[in-house]
Amino acid sequence: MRTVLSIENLKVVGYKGGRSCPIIEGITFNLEPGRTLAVVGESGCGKSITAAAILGLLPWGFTVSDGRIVLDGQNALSLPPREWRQLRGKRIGAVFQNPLAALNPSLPIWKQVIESAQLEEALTRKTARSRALQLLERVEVPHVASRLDDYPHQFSGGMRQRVAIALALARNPALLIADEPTTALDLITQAQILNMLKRLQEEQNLAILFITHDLSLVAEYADEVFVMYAGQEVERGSVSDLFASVAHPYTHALLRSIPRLTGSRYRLIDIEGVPPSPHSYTRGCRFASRCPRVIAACSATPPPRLGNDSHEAFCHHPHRVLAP
Amino acid sequence: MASGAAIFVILLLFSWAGPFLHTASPYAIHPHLLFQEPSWQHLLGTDDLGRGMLARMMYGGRPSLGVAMIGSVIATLLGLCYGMVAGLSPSLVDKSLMRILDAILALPTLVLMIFFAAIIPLDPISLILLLGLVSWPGLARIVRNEVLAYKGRDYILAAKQYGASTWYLARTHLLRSMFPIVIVNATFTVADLILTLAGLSFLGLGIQPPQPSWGGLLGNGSNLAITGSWWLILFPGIAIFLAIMSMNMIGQGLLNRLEGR
Repeated sequence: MRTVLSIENLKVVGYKGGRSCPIIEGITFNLEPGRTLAVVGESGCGKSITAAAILGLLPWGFTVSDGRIVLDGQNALSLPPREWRQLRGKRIGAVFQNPLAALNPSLPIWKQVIESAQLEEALTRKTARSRALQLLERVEVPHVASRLDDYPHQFSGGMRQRVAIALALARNPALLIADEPTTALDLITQAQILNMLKRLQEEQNLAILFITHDLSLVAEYADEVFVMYAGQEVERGSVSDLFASVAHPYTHALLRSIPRLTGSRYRLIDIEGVPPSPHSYTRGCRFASRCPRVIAACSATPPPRLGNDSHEAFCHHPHRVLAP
Repeated sequence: MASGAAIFVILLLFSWAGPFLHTASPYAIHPHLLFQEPSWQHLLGTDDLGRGMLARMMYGGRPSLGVAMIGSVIATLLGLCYGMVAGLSPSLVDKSLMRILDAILALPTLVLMIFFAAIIPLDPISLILLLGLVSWPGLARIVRNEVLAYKGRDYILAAKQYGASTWYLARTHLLRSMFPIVIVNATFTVADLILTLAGLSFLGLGIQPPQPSWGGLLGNGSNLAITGSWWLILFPGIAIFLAIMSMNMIGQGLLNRLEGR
C-alpha cells in the first residue's frame, strides 16, 4: 500500500549556549492511509518534538539535522521551504493537547473553522458560513446552526476540541497529527471524540499519527505502536503483536503503571526516576538507569535490534525473545 | 467612561465649533482693554494686550487637543509596528531591537524635545511628528511582550501549519488579541501628550506665540498673575485639567470594560 508519511532516521538537535545536543535520534516509521500509528512515551521523551518536526513547528533553537520526512512521496527536507509549507498545510491537519488554547478567543467559531480553507482560497461570506456549518456537523457539534456566531468561551472543552478537529480536517488532509488530543478531557468525552475520529478516519481513509502517553487508548484505537524513550525508539510493532508479547522492559513498565479497577487494591505502580536529560545521553541503553532487568552490557553498548518488521525492540535483556 | 467622553466632546466642540458662535479674533489687540476681569462683555476677561481670553482659549484648544490626538495615533502605529516586528523576529533580531528600544527609552522626552526645538521650526505639524516620535517606545514594548505571549498559542501554531503567512498571523490573530490593550494605551497617550505639550508650551518650546495654546496661555498668565489677573491662569489650567482627566476617565473605562470581557 502507498505510504502517506514516512520518517527515515530522523534526528533533531537543539542548540543552547553554543552547544548542540541530540533531542531525538534515528526515528523511523511509515504511516499508511486509513491506519493509526500511536507514538507512546513519558513526558519529555521526544514525542511532541517528533510531531513538531513533521509540522515544521520546531521551537526556536531546534533543527532537523539528519534524516528524511517523506510526505506523499516528496522529501520535505529537499523541497524549497515555500513548497513544503504549502504541501504540508494541505496534506496534514493538526490537533493539539489543550482545547482552551486551540481557538482564538476573539473570533467567532465559524470564522475559525474555515480558517485553513480560507488560507487556500478566498470564500464569500455565504459559502464560508455554509462550509463552516458542514464541517461542524461532521464533528457532531449539536445545534450547529445556532452556534456559528458563538465565541470559544461559550463552548465546553470537548466541543472546542471538536471545532479544532473540524478545522484540522477542513482541507481534507491525508494525515492528521493528534498530539494528546484528549488528555485534557474527561473520560466520556475522550471516548466520544476518539470514536468520532475513528469514524472520520474510515470515511476519509485518513492516516492518523496519534501521540499519547496512555497505553490503554492505544490498544483500542491504534493499529501500530511506536514506543519512544529519551528520544529513541525502544519498541515498535502492530498492536496485536506488541501487546501479545511485550519485549522491552520500558513498554512493560508503562503497561504495568496503568491503574486498574479490578483485582486487589495495591499502590499505583510507577517507574522509579525520570528520563535522562539530552545532555547526559550515553552510548549504552538510555533506560539502563531505571530498568529492573539491567545487565552489565546495558550501559556499555547500544542495545541490539531484535525481532522483525512487524514487531521490533531494542534491548539487551528483553522480557521475551523476539523471532527475527 | 461616558462622563469622560462627554467632557472631551464638549472640549472638542468648544475648540472647533466655538469660534462660529463667538466670532472675536484671538489676535486682535485692544490697547484700551488690557487686563479686563471676566464680565458680560469679556466672558473670560482679556490679557495683557487686550485680546479676548474666550477667543484665545477656543483657538488655543485646537493645537493642544489636535496635536495630542494625532501624535497619539502616530505613536500607536509606530509602537505597534515596532513591537510586532520585534516579537515576530528571530530571537537575536528581537533582542537587538529591544536593546535599541532601551536606549531610546533612556532619553528623557523633555530633553529630546528641547534639542529638537533648537534645530527645527516649531509648528503644529512638526510638533505632531516630534511628539509621535518620542512617545512610541512604551507601547512597542507592551506589543512585543503580547506577541511573545500569544505566539505559542495552539491556534497560532495551527494557522502556521496550514500555511498562514506571518503577515496574516499579525493581522488576523495578534492584532485582534491585543486590540484592547492598544486602544487603552492610545487613550492614555493622548492624555500624556496633552500634558507634555502644555509643559513644552509653558516653557516656550511648544506652539509659538502669537498662536494661542492652552499651555502657552498658562505660561503667559503665570508671568502676569502677579498683577492679580487670576483669570489668565485659571481658565487654561481648568481646560488642561479637564482634557487630561476626561482622557484618563475614557482610558480607565475602556480598560475596565475590555478586561471584564
